[in-house]
Amino acid sequence: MSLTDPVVHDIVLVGGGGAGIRAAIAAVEADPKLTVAMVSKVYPMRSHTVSAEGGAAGVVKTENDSFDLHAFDTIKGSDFISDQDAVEAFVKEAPRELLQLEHWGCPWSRDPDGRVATRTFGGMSTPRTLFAADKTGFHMLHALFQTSLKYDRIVRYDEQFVTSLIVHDGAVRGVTAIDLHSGKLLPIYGRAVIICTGGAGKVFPFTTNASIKTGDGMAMAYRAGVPLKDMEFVQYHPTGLPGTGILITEASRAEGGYLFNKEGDRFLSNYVPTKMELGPRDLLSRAIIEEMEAGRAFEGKHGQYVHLDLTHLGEKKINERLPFVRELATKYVGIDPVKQPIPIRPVVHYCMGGIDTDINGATPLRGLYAAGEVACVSINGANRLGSNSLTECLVFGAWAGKHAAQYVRQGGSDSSPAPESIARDEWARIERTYLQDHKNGERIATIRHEMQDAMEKGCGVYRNGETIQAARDKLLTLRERYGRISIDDRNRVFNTDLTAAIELDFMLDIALAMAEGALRRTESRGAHQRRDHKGRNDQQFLTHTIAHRTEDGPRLEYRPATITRWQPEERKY
Amino acid sequence: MNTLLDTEERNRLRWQCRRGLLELDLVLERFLEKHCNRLHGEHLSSFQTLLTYTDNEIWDLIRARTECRDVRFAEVVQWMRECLAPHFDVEDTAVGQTRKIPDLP
Repeated sequence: MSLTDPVVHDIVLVGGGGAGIRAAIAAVEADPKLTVAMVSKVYPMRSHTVSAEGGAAGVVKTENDSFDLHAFDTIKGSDFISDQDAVEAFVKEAPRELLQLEHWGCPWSRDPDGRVATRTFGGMSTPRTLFAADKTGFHMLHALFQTSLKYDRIVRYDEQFVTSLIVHDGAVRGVTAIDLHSGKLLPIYGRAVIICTGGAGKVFPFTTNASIKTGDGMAMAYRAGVPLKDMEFVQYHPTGLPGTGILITEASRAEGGYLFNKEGDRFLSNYVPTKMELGPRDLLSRAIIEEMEAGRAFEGKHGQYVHLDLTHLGEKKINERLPFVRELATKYVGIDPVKQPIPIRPVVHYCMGGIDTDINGATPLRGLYAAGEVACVSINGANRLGSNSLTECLVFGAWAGKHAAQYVRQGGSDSSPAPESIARDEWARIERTYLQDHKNGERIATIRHEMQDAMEKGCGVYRNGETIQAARDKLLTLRERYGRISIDDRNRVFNTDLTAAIELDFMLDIALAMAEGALRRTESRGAHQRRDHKGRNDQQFLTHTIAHRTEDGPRLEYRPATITRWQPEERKY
Repeated sequence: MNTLLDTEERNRLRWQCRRGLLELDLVLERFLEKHCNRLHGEHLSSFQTLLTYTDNEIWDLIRARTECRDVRFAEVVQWMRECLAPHFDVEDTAVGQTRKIPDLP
């Protein structure tokens, strides 16, 4: 294997999902001259955005809603460590982006009077979530993708596996990518790079995330000296199917589904009595875990679970409003929700943390931008509200693209190419680490399973110092063992052993940043719940955790969250 | 092509079975486990063509929301559908229990 001839564009975009394509369109619209390389390990229409079912939030009906209300719901949902200036900017831009997407062909569902239909989502105090039947993410991505095809200045590099950022003289200059078709390393140079690679749910064993969600972009930026922010906040979705992690959409609760424990109690009355099933995800996930620990959950082959009951909604409503849920339950657990309740358990769903960015998507590394789940602006704080993230992809994807274009127009990172030695060194590292003989080395799958197990035990819905410390110690051991991995496949083309090994390398860095952040945050806030430090500590932790990568593990510092108009208060529903 | 898959082609298929939908990941992983080593000829090219469809198109075919217009694909689609067997043991789901619905405040 070897290097292939480099290619040069103005902007290099890594990731082809919702945020990435939105960023690419914004960049080429901002400047009629520049070209964007859209580099993705899978084809864009296979990005994880397609899996979003529920919807995208924005104030589109003003009779019972306002920007302030959307902002407050988001800030309260975040347990008061979102940056309020970012949230205010986000909610104001959201309706424009949602309308823009309709103009690009996204078929938002309609009410009988022809107005766009909205539904209530957990933690939102009024119906403000737009949806496109039960395939919102697919329709959004499709509209974005089709729009991107109009621009021949967006040049796609599909099935290119990005391994590192090229950084020179304190600025990003491009990326190195394994061309999976040839097995060669392709340097792609640019004067700005935008990372939109999504989250890292695969760090955990039970997740709604597809297998591609391995935190690649977060880890690449982290290694290039860019801090990760608020990594300890990992959202569990309360209603995943046991065994597979398949998501049963929140719409099933929005349409009137109930949660029951094995004693037949609608147990949320003891936890979130005013919101019940429409409470925010973190509170519902915790309630389910509490029921499990109290012995009031069912025991099954894949562990404990409770019931999501839709039977009272009737076949007609289920077919009309939740056909996807009926199919998933029937196909994956063999249960027809018209007749029987669905077994569910909390499963990892979303990373609130990510690459440290400002409102424009800019990171502390000159020329590097990020948007979508990979980034932490932060509007989600300690807990994201359902349906804010699709809108986040649009709003911050557009801003990242626009500002990257502006940066390039103003000169960008030096247009002279970075030294070729950077790409050569990267190739030498890959060969040395993975492709030379390491007989009887460690197995990738073994280390991956042990990492996922450690994260489930140490950084699950509830945590305490002891369990987090154990997870952290385990991760350090796994990191050391990773140095001795061996892979069997020495083929050049589509070497899935090699890509799995590199993804695992990325995930180990991400997992360690999550565990370190969780260990040091000695309070409970949003998705981070410490049994040994109950309740929020606003005196000390109204802050973002900023993790820097060092050879000895993450080095943490703290930055105050931005408060504009909403003072922290008790988060009750 | 009538020969069985070489490593390179098998890896290419494995990569192209990595999708945006977890549901598809699971079905296609099962499909590969079960059929990869005996895919060739018409079946192989049908599967390769199906993988070029969008996630939702494949998913709709697998769960029989749509039917394949091209009859050449029918057999492979059927094999894919057979990989959608439940992952869960349903005996213990406590059907028919008495549920208590509290008065809401």
